[in-house]
Amino acid sequence: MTQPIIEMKDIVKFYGEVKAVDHLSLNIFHKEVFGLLGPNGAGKTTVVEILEGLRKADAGEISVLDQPVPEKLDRIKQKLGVQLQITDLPELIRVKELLVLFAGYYNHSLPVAQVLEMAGLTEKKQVYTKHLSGGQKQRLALALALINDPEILILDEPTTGLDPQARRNIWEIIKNWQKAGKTILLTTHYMEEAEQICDRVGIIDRGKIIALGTPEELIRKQNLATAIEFELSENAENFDEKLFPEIEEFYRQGQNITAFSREPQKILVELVRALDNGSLPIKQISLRKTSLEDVFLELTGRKIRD
Amino acid sequence: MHTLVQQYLFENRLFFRNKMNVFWNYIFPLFFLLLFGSLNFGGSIDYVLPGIIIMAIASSCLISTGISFVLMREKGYYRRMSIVPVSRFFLLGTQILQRYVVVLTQIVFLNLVALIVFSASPAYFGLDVWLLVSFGIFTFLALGFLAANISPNVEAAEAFTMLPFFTLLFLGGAFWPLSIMPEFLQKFAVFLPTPYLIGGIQSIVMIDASIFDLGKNILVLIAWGAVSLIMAVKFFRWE
Repeated sequence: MTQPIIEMKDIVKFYGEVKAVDHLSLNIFHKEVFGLLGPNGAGKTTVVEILEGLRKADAGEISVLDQPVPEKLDRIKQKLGVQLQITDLPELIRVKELLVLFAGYYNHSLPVAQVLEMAGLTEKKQVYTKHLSGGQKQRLALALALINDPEILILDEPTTGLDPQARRNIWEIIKNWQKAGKTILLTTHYMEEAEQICDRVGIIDRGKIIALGTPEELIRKQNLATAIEFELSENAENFDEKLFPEIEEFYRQGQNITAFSREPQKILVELVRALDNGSLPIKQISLRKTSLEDVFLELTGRKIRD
Repeated sequence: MHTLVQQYLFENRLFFRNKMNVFWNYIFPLFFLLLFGSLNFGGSIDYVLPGIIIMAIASSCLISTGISFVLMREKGYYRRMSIVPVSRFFLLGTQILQRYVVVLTQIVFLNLVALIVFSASPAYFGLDVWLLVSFGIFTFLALGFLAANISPNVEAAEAFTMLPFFTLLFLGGAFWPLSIMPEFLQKFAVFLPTPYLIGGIQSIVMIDASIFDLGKNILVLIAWGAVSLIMAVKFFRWE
């Protein structure tokens, strides 16, 4: 991670009166999986579409692979793999035919059989695209983005609308692509996706990057309290929180207690001690890790899917 | 060259795998040929066949091409194509070439049936008819792209292609002689391209005219095609 492979400086984009991208600057480095994370309408798609040349920024400077955008787009396109958010492929065309066609557009391309294999579509190569499932269509769109062996892969919400298994399949393809030494920029509104596959994440809200770093860094930086959930064998009304000074906030519900603390380890030790000396009849304890969802909530005061 | 061949094959597959295209481009004009040929309208098949040929051209170039362009545009196909490193005008050019070949095969097919079933003139297979028909295809393809570019969606494209289709065919003398129409319609028809295409083919086949005798006909076709094309480019959008 030395030289940025994508550089965006002070990008502004208006749709009429609405400022969709608001002085956004961002560097993406070689061989990283970078996730642009934000709710619908935050400006994620606009940012990637400006990079792809589908839209023009009203202000700002962009360079991809050391070439200015949009001036050198023709050259950049040779090394760019793109999956748009929505691509309705022609229905009466076979999977393999489409890949062969796309391979022909580039100076350099991977063997079609290899891309079919990577996307798990070898068995479907003779099938019309209209007969593919949602997950298979998404993998085909991804395969079309991979056909030119791109240095940079840009994926706009690659797993939206897919079931968990199909989503995991896509993640695996992305991870393997990174292992092959390539850079991936993806947009998502799935926190889990960002945490699972992204090396770094930029949280975008109202066209601005409001937080940037590895998922762990973002969570640590916010210094959010961890939730400790425990269940008692009796009603929790008698629970005396004053015995645990590290608890910052807590809720009782029946026999269950949820406590929040920035020092969960101390509370755990005290809880185990209380269990050991019989002063608190605890049935089970669990810790819930702070997620990017909590970070987003803390930063914006809103849930990501609001 | 490889890319051109692949793109051409792609367009061809998409076209022929859609059974509606086969119906509208081959079966539908064939039905009209058999109907009008049997009615012996106008006394000779050679009088009727040019109208059927023009109907086939208009159906392919105007309706079928116009609607499918809007459909592909609505589905985001051209948008996807804008991120591959080939010119979209290359894609459009290949599509036009493919349609041109389809229409020619269609006309050869109709002429063959007319020759075998109704003993039509072999002159329909000559160079002069081919050249004049090529100008006609250019004119109607330009009209088809114009209709596609001014249509915001597929429903509108149906209206914007059907309206000129019927106007040009019915008022342009494709199905009956212009002389039986009221005088004001005859005056109007002078401004349409259809009578010049139909009349041109009839002259070649029936009075042995050559393409060099048909300068006015070709000029009108070029004028219609050029104006349509300029307007199509003006209203053009990929998405």
